[in-house]
Amino acid sequence: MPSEWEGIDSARRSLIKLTAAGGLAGLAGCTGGGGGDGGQSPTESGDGGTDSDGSDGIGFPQPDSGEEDQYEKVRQIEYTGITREYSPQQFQLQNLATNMWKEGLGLNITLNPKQYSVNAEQFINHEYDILQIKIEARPERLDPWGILTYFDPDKSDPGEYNTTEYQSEELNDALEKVETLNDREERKEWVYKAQELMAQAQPLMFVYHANKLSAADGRAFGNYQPRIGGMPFWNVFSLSQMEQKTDESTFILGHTRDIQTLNTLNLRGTSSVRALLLNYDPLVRIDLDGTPRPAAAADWDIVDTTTVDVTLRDGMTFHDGEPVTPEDVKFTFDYIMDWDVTYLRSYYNPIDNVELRGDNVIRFNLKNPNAPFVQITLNQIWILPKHIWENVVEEKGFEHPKEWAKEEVDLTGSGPYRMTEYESENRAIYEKFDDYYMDFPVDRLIWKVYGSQTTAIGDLEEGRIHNVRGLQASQYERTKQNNNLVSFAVPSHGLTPIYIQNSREPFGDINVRHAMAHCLDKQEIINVALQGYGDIATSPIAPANEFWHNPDVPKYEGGAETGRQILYDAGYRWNSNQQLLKPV
Amino acid sequence: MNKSRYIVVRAGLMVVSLFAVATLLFLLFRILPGNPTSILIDPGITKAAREQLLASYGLDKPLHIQYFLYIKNLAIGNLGVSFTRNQPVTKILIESTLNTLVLILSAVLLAFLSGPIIGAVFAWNRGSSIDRYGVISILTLFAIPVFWSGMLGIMLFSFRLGWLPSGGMTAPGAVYDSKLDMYLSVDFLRHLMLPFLITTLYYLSVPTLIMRNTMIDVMGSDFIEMLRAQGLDEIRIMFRHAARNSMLPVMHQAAISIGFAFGGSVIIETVFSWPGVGRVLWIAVNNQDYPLAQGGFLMIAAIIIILNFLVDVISVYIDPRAAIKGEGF
Repeated sequence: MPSEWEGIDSARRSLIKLTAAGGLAGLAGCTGGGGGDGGQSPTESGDGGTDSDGSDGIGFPQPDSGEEDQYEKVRQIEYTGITREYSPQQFQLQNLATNMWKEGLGLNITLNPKQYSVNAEQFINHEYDILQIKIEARPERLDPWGILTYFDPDKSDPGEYNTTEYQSEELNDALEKVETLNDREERKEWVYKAQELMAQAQPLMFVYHANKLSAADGRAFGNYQPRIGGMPFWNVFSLSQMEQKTDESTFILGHTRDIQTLNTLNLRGTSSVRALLLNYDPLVRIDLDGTPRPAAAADWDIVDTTTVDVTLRDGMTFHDGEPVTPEDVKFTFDYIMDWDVTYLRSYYNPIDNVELRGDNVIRFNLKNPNAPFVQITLNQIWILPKHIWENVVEEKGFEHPKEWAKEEVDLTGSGPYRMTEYESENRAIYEKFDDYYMDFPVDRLIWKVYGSQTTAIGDLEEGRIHNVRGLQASQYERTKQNNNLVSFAVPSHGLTPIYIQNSREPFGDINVRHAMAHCLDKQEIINVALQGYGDIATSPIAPANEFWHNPDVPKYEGGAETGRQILYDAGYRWNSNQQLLKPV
Repeated sequence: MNKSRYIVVRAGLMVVSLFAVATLLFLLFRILPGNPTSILIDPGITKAAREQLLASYGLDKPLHIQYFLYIKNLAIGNLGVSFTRNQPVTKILIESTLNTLVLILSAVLLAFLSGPIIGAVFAWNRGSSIDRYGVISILTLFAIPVFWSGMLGIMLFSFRLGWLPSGGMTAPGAVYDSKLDMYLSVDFLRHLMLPFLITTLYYLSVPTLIMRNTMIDVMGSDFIEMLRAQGLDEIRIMFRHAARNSMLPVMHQAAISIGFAFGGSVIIETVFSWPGVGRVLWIAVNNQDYPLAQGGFLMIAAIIIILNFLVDVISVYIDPRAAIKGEGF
């Protein structure tokens, strides 16, 4: 071969050698375990397992020689995950978490993504080791009880919501105060205490609070004021402040989900609540920052811990012209309670009875003190017209008013936008109700259902619709670049945790839970799964919920090494394959 | 005599198939993990409430009783009430199927009318460049997944060129006095154009290729030689004789394709945000809405089975040899 070929040939060979060496080194780093630097190797067992060499860290100490039979492998753990289609972000989260725990702590975890309905069923029945599910940012969850209720140790039976089955008298007491204390500052102390207790105990992993990403058309409308949580503009406060820049007076939202129900007595799904809250009027509405504001109620008065008086606003009418009276309010609550509407039960449960006191005053007598009553109950139950609903069951021959089918139910309400058209899986059209007590620039709202988010975004860019919510990070990056659009990353009070079944081994041991918390690199997860658009979660209540969030709770930032140290100190060891062993 | 017996036997098989499908659907949904209440996660929904809900759906009864009620209702044409919408399933299916039919049926019809013609031309010019490049194009069309061609179509015609809307049946704010008014409006036709085009292209390949291949077979047969020898011109031989005899497999395929088109419509309907029965069924399955899902799939199965039956009947009249072949089973 001529000399230049030799040169090239040998250069090629050395390149191959280099890449091979690099590859092998990389591989060695991987098998060497995570936590510290890649080149780490397990320490020998001779000196009792602790590593005195600071730069290598703790490693994976094995049992002392002769004591191997005092340990056995921790069992195989199943992580019930969610499918990629249902939530790409949680899909990535569960992959990252599984790897972090396997490599960092030697836990034997198998990740099984499952269809949401299966996942949800396992959740409800407490039948899981580790489970992935998200707590959505519904407006009622801005009140601390809205989210802390899911961790109430009193509700730990299968079928109830404290699915981790974590028990604690202290937490029980703190949560009771949260539910019943009306004084905001007093209540705040207990909300803080509850967060501290939960952070100390780590009954589940608090991972992140994802931002809500959305984009809106900047050409036709301006002065967008988003509300905390999902669907940022679909509320009276954002809509009333919006400015018209052209003569366009129809605001179109592109959504990938349809409105599930239109019959208040058969309510289900967050989208239905959001949709109907414009057609109907509740007594109280939640402002952009989460504060309750007078809506159909002109004012309210906490007479004592179990009595709330509400003064109805004057001069309101329903869409058909009939006046809104205190009788309608009493009728609504009595009707819903009599017919036992499942979805609303937790809201009206605290009510013992509703009285009319004259002078437009409606008195709510509660069974027990209930702090979230105004913020949650009076917001989630809207006023139904007595003259439409009171005879519906006899006239139509139903057994229950919920039988009034979705597309036939009479939607007469007193809200600012009356739903005039509805086609399933297609769209809902609202027309502005001029007699409402607030002004809105937009005359018409349309909720348009899209089969694909990408098409909706394309239409937004073309100016055919005006708002798309629930964007993924990559889509958000794209809309940000478009000068015709206004993009929003709104911090959310929703929580994405990882549920741990405390009543199953090894999760009953608090040391294991602490170790898992340390091992979880939450910022890394936010960077990968959310591309940075989220906040680290240290307790159920998000930083975005400023008043109630407790910033001074234990955080678990030690990394896998600290996790292993905790496990070591608690008597755990590892075998030669770096799998976790527990003392027998 | 052969013909009527053949038809009666076929009709009997049809009923048996329908019954088998109905049973299979019933079992499938009840074997699937989860139930309609499992996705309702809300503090208000206690264990007792869930059980109450299940009872209201009739899901607390023993399996054989549920089955008996199900078959009894089917026999009188009652498909039950949707869990999620509280409306009779039949009503929901009729409305959404109409939307799907307008799109799918017209596309399949056009594909099966023009496909055989193109296929015949290919077969007749077999080996030439028309045939070679034509077949390659058709095979490419066949290989392209419909959601990809759909999205490409949207990207090109809706977003780049701005000629057509990106989806839906009508403009978001357009309101019509009746469904018929909507179907006849220019707005609707504009919205129909793109999904119709993409769907037609998608279904074009099968009839084209079947026609081509069958005709090539037919062209090799003796009677064609005979007709040529008699002095008939090529066009007449191609269309009047060769093509007609090749129609039978295409017709059978049409029946099958219409059925599959209903099943595959969910993809097209998702890409184009078309509110049809495919999407309704997809959502019903995800929400564990058993009556709606069962009713919908049963309807699709019934359409396929009935269409096949009709094609069998028609084919016996077109080609009496089918009855003879059919007898020996």
